[in-house]
Amino acid sequence: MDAYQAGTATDPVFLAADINTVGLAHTRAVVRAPQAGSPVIASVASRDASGDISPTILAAAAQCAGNTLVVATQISLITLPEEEREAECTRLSATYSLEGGTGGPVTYDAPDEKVVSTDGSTVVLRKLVQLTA
Amino acid sequence: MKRILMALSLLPGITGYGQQQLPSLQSLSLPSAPGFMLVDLAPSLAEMPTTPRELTVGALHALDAQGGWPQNYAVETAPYWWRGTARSAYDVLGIRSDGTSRPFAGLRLASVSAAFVTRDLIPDGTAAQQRVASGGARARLLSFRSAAQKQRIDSGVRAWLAQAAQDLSDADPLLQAVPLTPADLQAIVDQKAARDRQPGSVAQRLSQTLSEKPVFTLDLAGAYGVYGIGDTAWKTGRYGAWLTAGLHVPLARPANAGAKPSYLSVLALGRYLYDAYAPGAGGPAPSGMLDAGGRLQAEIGRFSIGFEGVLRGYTRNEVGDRLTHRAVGTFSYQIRNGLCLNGAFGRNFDSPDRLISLFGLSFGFGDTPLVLPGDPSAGGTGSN
Repeated sequence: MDAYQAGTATDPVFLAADINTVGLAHTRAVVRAPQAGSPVIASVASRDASGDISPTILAAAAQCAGNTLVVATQISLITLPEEEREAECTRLSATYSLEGGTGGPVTYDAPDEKVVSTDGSTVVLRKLVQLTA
Repeated sequence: MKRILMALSLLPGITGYGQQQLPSLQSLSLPSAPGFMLVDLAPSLAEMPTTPRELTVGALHALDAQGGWPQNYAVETAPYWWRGTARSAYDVLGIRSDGTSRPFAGLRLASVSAAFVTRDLIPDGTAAQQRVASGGARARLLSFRSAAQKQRIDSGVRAWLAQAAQDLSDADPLLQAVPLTPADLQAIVDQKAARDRQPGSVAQRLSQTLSEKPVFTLDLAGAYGVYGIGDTAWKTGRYGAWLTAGLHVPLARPANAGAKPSYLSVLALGRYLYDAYAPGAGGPAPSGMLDAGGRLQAEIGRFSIGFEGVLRGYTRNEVGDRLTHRAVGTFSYQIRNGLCLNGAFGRNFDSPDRLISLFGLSFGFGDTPLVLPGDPSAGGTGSN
């Protein structure tokens, strides 16, 4: 799992996500403690079917420290004919950017997990980043 | 059943009395790869790179493997798919995130094709082959949807987004701050896909809406080919341009989800071809040919019937009529997925007895129905 040094200041940490696909996409990012079922501390989401998150305040650095950032993207390839979906599954990608913390601006150029449904119509991307003090 | 179909597919097609030369129903349609069609090339294996690196590697391999000029190398691609960033669903939906239309969105998906071959394209009686290089491009210039279509697409996208937002709730396993096993992840994704396959689901309704034809489309293609004569001279061989405008009027929306909609389509077709080495009485000579015409077509469920009329004029010609025409009626009935009954009858341009007829059965495997040439639902996205 990647790590990002958020620090302990009250300055905001910014998150951006760029989802590169012609499928319908929706992205949500949450900050929560690294245990199953922990409450969500902060949350941001994409606003349209691009799945992109413009640089947005995630939370204050102090709120982030010691927790985990989880970014999940759900993609549907119904916008493409069936014979073109396999190629798109290979082409699609995502990059994530964090800045504002003591670690400075950092970009992660790929998700940790890319899972394609058996019928090739749905893709899920997942990225976890440990936020440290 | 498959064995029966395989055996039947090996039988020659049933042809009608009076047939001389089977017409090519696709001869005037906008070619999907004009760079290939210009030089009469139907490559058995065309490369379709999706990145500049794939294109370079493929080209170098072809040159290296064939020791110089390729015998048969063809490539088709759409540069849009090479982009590493800034691609979104709105580029293929034809609308913006606020629901307004993007009539020129098809330009982004323009495709280019190129062919490098060694063959004899000059009808001069000698067997000498020429090195041939041909390049072409194809693009959808305009695509208009009705206000009702745009509203259905926008509503469908918003419904999908609302459903996805519900999926990615605080309790969703995908948003838990703990690793998930590959098996768990696969099960989650497959569950979502299974829901989307259900008839009447948000995804299925949106998919059916997206399969509706735009009300108006305008497509353009062009190609240019040069011949290498000997070792040093390169001369223009052929060039051509194709233009198709289509008006598609829905006759009725299907009563059942998944049923095919019905359309009345009017297509205007135009083509210009120049051949610097067309066959002539005194040997190869330049010849230009201009075709203009149209097609009226009705698709009602599984049945399709149409009529195509084209006027052909030769701009520089030493043989044949200066003005000729073609009038062909066609019909098609999809008996079931992968099995269609097709027929055509009429007059071709310059066949000896000017009568064409074609009646046969088309066999195929798969779920996609027969699509007549020029239909905008055939390969409209141009992705490679």
